[in-house]
This record gives sequence, C-alpha cells and structure tokens, in this order.
Amino acid sequence: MAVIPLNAARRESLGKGGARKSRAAGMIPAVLYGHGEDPVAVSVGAREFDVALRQHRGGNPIVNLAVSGQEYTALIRDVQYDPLTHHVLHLDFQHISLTETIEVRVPVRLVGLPIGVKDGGGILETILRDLEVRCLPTAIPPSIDVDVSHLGIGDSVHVRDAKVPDVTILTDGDATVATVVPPTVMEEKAPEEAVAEAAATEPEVIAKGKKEEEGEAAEGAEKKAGDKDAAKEKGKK
Amino acid sequence: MLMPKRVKYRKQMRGRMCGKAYRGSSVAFGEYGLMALEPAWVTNRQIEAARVAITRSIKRGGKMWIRIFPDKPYTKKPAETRMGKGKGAPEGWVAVVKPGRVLFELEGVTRKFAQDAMALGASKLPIRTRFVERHQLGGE
Repeated sequence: MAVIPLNAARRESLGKGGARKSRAAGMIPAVLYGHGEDPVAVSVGAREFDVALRQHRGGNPIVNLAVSGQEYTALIRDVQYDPLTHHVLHLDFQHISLTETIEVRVPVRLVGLPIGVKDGGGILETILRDLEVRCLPTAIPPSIDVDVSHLGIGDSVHVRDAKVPDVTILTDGDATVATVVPPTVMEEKAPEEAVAEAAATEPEVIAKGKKEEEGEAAEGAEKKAGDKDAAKEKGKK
Repeated sequence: MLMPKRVKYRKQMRGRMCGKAYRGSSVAFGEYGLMALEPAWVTNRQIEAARVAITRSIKRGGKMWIRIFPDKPYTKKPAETRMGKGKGAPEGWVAVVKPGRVLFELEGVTRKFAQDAMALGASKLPIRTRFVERHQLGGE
C-alpha cells in the first residue's frame, strides 16, 4: 500500500469558530492523535487533500503527514462530510507505526454473478459491507474479495469463506457476508382493502383516560365560547 | 399506508424545519439512494406513491428500503369554518424531511435501473431530490 504525502499546519484557533475559520480559508480542520501522544489540532489544504486522495483505492489510506517540520505516518481513521454538498468537514489522523499491527475495517467486494441471480432470478443481498481485520499497515488490502458465483437461491457466503493472506479477520466467522434471496412477488392490494386501509387514519391513543378528558375540555370550551357570544349579542342590543 | 400504530397524543405542534439532516443522510442499507434537497412535510400518501412507482419500475429484481416514516399528525379545519374554536381534526400523517435526508434506498439492480426507478419515485414527491450512491473515501 502506497503512503500518500500530505502537508498540514498546526491550528491555533480551536473549537467551532476556529474550525469554521479554517474551512473558510480553504482548509480542512483535522486532529492528529495516537501512539500515546497528546492530540494535535491541525489543518490540511482541501484542494491538496482532494488531489492526493483521488488516486487512492480502498478504504484505509495511509498518509505521511508533515506538520511544521515533523513527519508522522498516520491512518485516516474518520472523515466527516457535509450531508448536502459532500465536502469534507473534518478528518481524524491516527498516528501509527508501520511495524505494529493495527485494526481496521476493510471493504468487501463481491466477485462474480451468482447462479441464483443469473438463472433463478434471485436477488444478491449484501449483509456485511466491510470486515474488521488486524494486520500491518503496509499489508492492508484495498478490499477483501469474496466469490459469490456459486451461490444458488437461499445460499449464503460467510466470513470464514474469505481468505486473505497476511491478515487476521476479527469479524465472527459465522457472520453472513452475502446471500441470494428469492425474488419478491409484488402484492397488488384489492381496491376494497386499500379503501379500508385509507379509512383507518386514526391510530390508537396510548393514554385512554386522556381522550375523555379532552372531550370534556372541548365541551367546556364550546360552552364558554357560546356564553361569550351571547354576552356580546346582549351588549350590541 | 404508513402511519404509527399507537400514539401518545393525537395532535402535534407544527415545529420548524430549519437546518440540514445530519442523521439519516448517508446511504446505509443499499447501494443507491434518493436524497432530499429541500425541507418538506412528506405525507404517507406521497411516500406510498413513490414506493409503488419504484417497486413497479424495478419489477422483481432488487430490494428497497424506505428511510423515512410519517409519524407526525397534521390537522385541518373543516371548510367554511370561522377561525378559533380550537385546533382542527387530524387529517393525515407526514414525515418531516430536511435537506440531505436519504428517503429511499435500492440494492440488487444496476445503476441505470436504480436511476430510472428513483426518477419515477422522485416525481411523486413534493421536493427536489438527488440520486446518490454509497460513498467511500478516495477514488473508485
């Protein structure tokens, strides 16, 4: 796995305001932590980060972070995105050593078209999209390939079927990675049934006593309003 | 049609819909999704119409998830009624949707199929939407 070089600057202004200021200046606020050291608030150029990561394949990029003259090997542990624009809002860099094992989540890639889908019209359902593994940072695979071409309808492939060299898979071996389910049959509801369902717009109210009280209160309010109207009319006369 | 089975109170205050949807804003179950770009009250009838449009489009293939639930009752006063005299009667159910919220998800179909199906579903909704995919850091 290639180590991506990346420049970062120490960030003096912290918190929400500081983070917003650095975003406005075209930087991404980030934090560097791990290896028993105190966390350091840093910021990375948004454009530089985008260009550096564009070539990366897989889910666990390792970067060589240069922070004010010092170099750190770090794993991008977490990325926060803006829900609408999908711009990166914040990054977590975990300082690691290339000679110590780490635990990461590696995406699963399903290989082949299952027999059950090809011939039986079934649906290939992915249950686990990534697996937890322990390995050296240099041995992190970009993805774990799982062959699903032999699966018929009702068959599934499990974590124990995935074989990756130099990597210990920590996810439970019995966990299902993918399964082929039978095709769903669309139920067309009879018009009568649909009408009956539409009519039932009132769900059950949990506090039953409340309903009666509400009714009484409403009656009381109506009475009061009626009295007021009568008084007004009298006044007019 | 989607609605709660049991509720604690029959009527609710209207509330506000400012800000973005920070929860439920990523594709979590399937491979493709339909994201809201505007805030709105989406009624259970609109959700049902979109669901039917999407499932009919993908026919037998694929699996669909509905990521919103209409758990908010809205009320309406009868026609030709004077103002006052209390809040109106419950009329229906809505889901409060903020920009960024993933409304539907699909899996087990090709990208083109999913895009077409989501476009049909989106036409049943009162808001602008965007077709989104599961995201991963880096290229690919």
